[in-house]
Amino acid sequence: MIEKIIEFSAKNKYIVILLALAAIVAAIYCIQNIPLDAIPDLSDTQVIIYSRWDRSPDIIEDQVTYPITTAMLGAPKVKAIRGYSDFGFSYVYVIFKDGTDIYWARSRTLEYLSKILPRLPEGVKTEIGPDATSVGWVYQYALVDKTGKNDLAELRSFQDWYLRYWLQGVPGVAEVASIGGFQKQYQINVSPTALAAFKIPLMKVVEAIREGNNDVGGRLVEFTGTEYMVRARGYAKSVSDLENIVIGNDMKGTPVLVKNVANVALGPEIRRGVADLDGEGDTVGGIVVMRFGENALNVINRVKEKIKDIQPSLPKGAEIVTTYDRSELIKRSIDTLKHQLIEEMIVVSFVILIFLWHFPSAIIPILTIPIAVFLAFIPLFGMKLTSNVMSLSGMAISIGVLVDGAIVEVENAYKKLQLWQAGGRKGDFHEVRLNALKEVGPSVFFSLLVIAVAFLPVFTLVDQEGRLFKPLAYSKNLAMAIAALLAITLDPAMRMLFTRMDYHHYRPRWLSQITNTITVGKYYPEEKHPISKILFKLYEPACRFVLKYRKGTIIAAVLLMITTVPAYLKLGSEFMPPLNEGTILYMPTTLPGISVTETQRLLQTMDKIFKETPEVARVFGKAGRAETSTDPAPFSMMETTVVLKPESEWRKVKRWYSGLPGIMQRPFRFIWRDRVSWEEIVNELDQKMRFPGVSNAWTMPIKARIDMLTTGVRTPIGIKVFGADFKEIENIGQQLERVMKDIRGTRSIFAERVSGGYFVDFFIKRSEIARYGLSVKDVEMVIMSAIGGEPVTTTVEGRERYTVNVRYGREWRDDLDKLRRVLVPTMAGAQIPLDELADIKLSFGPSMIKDENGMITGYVYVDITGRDVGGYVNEAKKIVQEKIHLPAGYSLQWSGQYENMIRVKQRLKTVIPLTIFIIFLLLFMNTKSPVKASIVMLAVPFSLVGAVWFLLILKFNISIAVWVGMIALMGLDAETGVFMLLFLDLSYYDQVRQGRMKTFDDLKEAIVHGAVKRIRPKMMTVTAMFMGLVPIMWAMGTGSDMMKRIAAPMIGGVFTSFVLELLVYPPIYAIWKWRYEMKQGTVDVSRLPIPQLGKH
Amino acid sequence: MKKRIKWICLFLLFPMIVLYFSCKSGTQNQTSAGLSQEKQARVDQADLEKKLYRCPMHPNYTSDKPGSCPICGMKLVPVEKEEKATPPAVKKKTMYRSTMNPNEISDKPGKDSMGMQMVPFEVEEGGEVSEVGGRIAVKISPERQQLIGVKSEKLRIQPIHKLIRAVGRIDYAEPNISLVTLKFEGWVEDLFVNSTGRFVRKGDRLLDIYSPDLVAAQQEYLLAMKANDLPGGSGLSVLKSARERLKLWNISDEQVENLERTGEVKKTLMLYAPISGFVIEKEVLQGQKIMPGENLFKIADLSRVWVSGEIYEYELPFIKPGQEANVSLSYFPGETFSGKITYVYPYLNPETRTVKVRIEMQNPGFKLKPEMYANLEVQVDYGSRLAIPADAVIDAGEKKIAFVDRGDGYLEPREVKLGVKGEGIYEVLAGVAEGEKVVTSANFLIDSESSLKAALKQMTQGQSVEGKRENQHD
Repeated sequence: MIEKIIEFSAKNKYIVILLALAAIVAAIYCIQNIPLDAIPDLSDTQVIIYSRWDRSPDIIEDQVTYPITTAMLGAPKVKAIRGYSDFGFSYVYVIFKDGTDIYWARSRTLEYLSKILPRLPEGVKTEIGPDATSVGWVYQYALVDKTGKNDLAELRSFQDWYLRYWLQGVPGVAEVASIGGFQKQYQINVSPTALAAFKIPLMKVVEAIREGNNDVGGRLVEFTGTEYMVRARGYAKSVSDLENIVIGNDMKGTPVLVKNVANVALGPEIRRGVADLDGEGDTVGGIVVMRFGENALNVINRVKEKIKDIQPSLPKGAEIVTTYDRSELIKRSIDTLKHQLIEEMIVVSFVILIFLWHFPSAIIPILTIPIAVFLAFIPLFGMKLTSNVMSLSGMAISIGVLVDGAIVEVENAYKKLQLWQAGGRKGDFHEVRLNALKEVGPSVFFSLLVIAVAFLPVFTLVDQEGRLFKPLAYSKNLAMAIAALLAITLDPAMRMLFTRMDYHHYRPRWLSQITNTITVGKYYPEEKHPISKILFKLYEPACRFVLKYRKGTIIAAVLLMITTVPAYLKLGSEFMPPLNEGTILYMPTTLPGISVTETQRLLQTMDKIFKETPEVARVFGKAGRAETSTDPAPFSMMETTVVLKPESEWRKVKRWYSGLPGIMQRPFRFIWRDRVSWEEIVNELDQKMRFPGVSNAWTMPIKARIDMLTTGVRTPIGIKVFGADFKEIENIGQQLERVMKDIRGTRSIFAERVSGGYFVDFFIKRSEIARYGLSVKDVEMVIMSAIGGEPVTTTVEGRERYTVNVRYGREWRDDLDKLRRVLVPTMAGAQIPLDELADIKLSFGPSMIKDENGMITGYVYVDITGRDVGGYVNEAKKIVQEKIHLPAGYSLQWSGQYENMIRVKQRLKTVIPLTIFIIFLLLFMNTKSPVKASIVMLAVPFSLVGAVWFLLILKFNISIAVWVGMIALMGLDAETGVFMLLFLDLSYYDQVRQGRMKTFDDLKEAIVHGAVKRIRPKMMTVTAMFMGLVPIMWAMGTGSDMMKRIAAPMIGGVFTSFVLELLVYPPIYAIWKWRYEMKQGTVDVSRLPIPQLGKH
Repeated sequence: MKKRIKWICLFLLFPMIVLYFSCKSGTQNQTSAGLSQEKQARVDQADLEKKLYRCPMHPNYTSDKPGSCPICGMKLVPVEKEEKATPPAVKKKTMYRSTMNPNEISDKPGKDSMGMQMVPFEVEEGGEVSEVGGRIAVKISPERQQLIGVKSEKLRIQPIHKLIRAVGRIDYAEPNISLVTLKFEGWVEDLFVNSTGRFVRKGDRLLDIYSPDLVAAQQEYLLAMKANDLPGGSGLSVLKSARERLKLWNISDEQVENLERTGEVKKTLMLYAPISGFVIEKEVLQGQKIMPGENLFKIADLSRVWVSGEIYEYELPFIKPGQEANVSLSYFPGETFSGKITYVYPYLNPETRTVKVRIEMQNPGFKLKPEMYANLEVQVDYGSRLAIPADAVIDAGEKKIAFVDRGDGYLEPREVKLGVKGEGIYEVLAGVAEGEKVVTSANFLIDSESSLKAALKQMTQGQSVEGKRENQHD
């Protein structure tokens, strides 16, 4: 079947080549249109229900979050519902099962939400968050005015009412969130003394203002055949409009206006987020949030285009300053990878060219690489996968392997043609060549199959790991598949193109020489081949040596394998290898409860220090929330995006070669960089940023956003304590801490503490208010509006809308004593100070309340070490049951990564043996001998030696990326192992056929012949693989870190497995053949059936 | 054979050597790779025992092992090893305390405010301090203090006064209002003061009045006079009573004398202003018939006014007659008038639920006009006491804490007991002594640092820190 395809392709070479060209054109289209992103979107399918209401966390929890979470219970395909109540905000994250369509999920959420919406308290603004996550924060800007013509309030208004909508209209943008500056608001600062004097209750002022701001229509009237639309213009549009609203009359009939009892002014709305640019103080910022699954690069480009368009429409003096732009990163990382791919292709091409020393043969694998890579984009595009660091890495790590098929084919054809030439050119060389191609076709397919099968475990990864590595697995396997397809179609077709075997001489001679070398080339026999000669010289003595000390060699190899165990234990571990994004995200955290003013001051001081560092180009600090549901950060968590200057502008560091003239320094720079490094800058900044009470986190924007996605418990085990009262929950958590600390295997246990909110509590004295004929509501209304200031109404001024807020003037509520004096009007007209109606106390409470599936939840995080998770959980459950008595209504739930880990473990328990079994089966099918298959499988431990040690030398941590590299390594091992053994077998049976296999020396000679004489093809494939990966290791650019983690085990592994195969296979083979097949020379081996060998 | 053994030994040795060196290099080269967190996470066993790790995002989470944060999965960072916050050397100091009022403390011997000899006692400056409300002492270098804007203030004894604010109204001073009435019937002949609000001086002619009764009385008086002039002198008592009548009718002596002298009966009679002041009511018109007892004018002397303030029940205990009160009016921004509380009314207004107080004030230039609304500030003096700025006190519900600057960047939390509250200051009853410096700004950050340090200390010393900050929410 495969042979037929090869034959067909070879015979119809032009058709195949044309089809290939067409496919390349299609691939180019796909490459241009494929969505680009730095890394795959790792977020769950989640819908955020976001409510705003200026209330304390416990009130929000009771009145908003709890009703919403319970309403969402029972929605289909929901995995978890998590609620967070913070001051003024409620977030309910509805997390759907993997693979749920986001829009389907959103409409289900809406459906279930509609039940509860009418029952939420008045004033709660509930909405569904955008179809985006904080990972979609692709572009951020600041709107600044250096000329001072516009103040912060005006800039913020412009941002809120114009700029935001303009940018939100750009396709692919889900939301544009504002941050910082001052949100304009009409503030009616009521003087309680004036109210008391006029005997007007505060509520009456509120009412009057609410009624003093409206436009209505009086339908139509008809005059003289024309119809007129009737309007009543009553919108308050200015401070004076509001000032002149009538509240009532005094006793003598003089009207009392708002201005008589209050001072009306434009002021800033209560601030829940501040921003700072370059340490210059408050600024207005905007965050462009990209829609889920969009092409980040295109979206950013469109946004930038739009910004350019609207430049003339900005208020005079204002300008838009980019503070974060992910496209840089995307471009940089894609460039790095592209660069990498090209570099690898060139390196591999050179390897092939050098090893074959024959241009017409080399050109085929060389062309195969880019074509396979190109064509792989077609299915990627079709599957709607993005092109990102991961998927390109997948291609990068497979380049060395991609050409294997082509190399084997070409090498075989070369060998056969050389033999044909040496054998006196019997028969048509076209036929010889075609046969050579057909011979290896199935093995090529087989070898690629092994690699693909070996990579299957990657597809079993779930959740974030799955989302992160599946693109890589897809692109790698697709590239492999396409390479396999090309190996049996395009490669034979192209090989047939070069038809001539003889030099064609013409003038000028140099031209004829070049064309002849390129089109015909010279065929050397193996022994005379320039590369082989060197390899023989090196390898033959080594091979003879190991054959002499067979057992010693094997023992040494085993010992070497054993050394990997301590080495492996020394490796650290991490979830995701770092992707150096080139932008620093500094996240200082303080304890909750910090005030806006304090935060703002701190932020500015910090930014100033940043700006003083010469490498820093721009600093944009953010504290508190941007106006988006994708930003749940409280004030205590600041985020400062530090954009660095291009590396070429960083400070120079003195190196040993610095004294040399400029040009001479260049080569050294590659090895010893002469500029400060990223780490040095971060360390330096970290030293400068040691603020008391603040802990520093240094991360990078995308990484931070991914880390902050609410993913629940991250430790292997989490115990969720459910109940109604957070104090009791905390108590239970601490009991768990005590009880579980001593269980064997506990690494750490931490019960979450509710922390950090400061409260002023008014305990209303019911007996007192009864005396004055007041209701609780009356008192509360006053607390709400006098102290808090309710937004009473909204003005409509063209496109802009501002809230009108009524509250006591600042001087009447800025201290506890003054709060005591807030007046509550009674029915009788008296105004009673709050102190007489309520007890006022300061207290300390939770600043954020967590709610899961409708119950208040506290997490206890347990990390374990050196124990099987399942066993640990069972033991812990038993102990907890014995020692902890839960009050009624409280329950524990054991969850955490351990469920996942157990699931993954179980899956891997079946998948890995299955993979090994399939590989073994394939090997067995190929070699027809279980012993040989086992010997080939030895390559796996051989490669582990190199993989682990190489990781240790590079100081890489174990991460899933490393595991993926290891898994990829498994396939390579099997492949190289097959090669090694194959040539030994070929040589052995060759001798057997010639009847020369009698003594141990015969065997030894056969082995030396098999191992040494055919070292070139082995060396070539391995070198291609190896050299295809090595450029990754010295890559410096963005995104290379991720690739390095995957490539490192492969490089180390391929190296040691190859070296060990070269050194250990011959002795093993010798022992096996001598002891078991030749029975120490007593059996006539030539009588034994000679198995059909692979076609090499 | 021997050779083989040699080789085997060599093969055995080789991996061990490799292992040894790689272990070594593994620990030596930590500083070069990865971000700071990453590199610091991998530390060798020896350091493990000393270092503590903390999640940079969740400062509440501390661990004695490197790893990642259970909450967010971030790499834990080692907590910076800082010099132990030890207070400056212990010094003994003798202070003096009043025997009558233990709060009265001085660093010099002498007599207290009551004139009694103060007794010496010893205080320790410095020494080990324990945690207060989940906070421990911290050391913050002066540069960092400056960075975050730490300011401190020395505690001193200073006058503390509380301000009680109230609304008030300017009123006429009740003793300074006069009414002008007639005791006889009559008609207004001439009205000289014919508009309300006019200022009159005492003795100014207000109006002329015609009254038949008055004419009759005059005539009677003249008759009586004549009769008196007759020999026999029997008319004296009649004359006396006639004169008495005129006098009772408020006819001035001057007018009576005039009558005597001229012997002529005046048809009209002049009425004079009884006091200087403003005519605040004018009930009389030209030609009007006036019945006896009818109010003609109300004249108020505004050189003194009363301010009546409304004091809420709960503030009443602080109010006593004789206290200084500042009056400010929205009509004269920036100007305050001062007066004294002269009277606290002995009853409560049921409608407003307030008690009235009276402040008497001079009214130069008649600036204060009755019925004006006024804001009162009554100063309640507590005398001189040890005071702490309100900004220095962190009120965490149960406990009130202040950070004492012991010099050298050493800041120590103290629980303070506060007394009365003045304007921007509190009286300190216990916790800090006079002359100590307390931090008045950037308290939040210092407080956070201190709480975090306390949590760390707890990690190292077991459960020694009780009453942690996190648990204070009841």
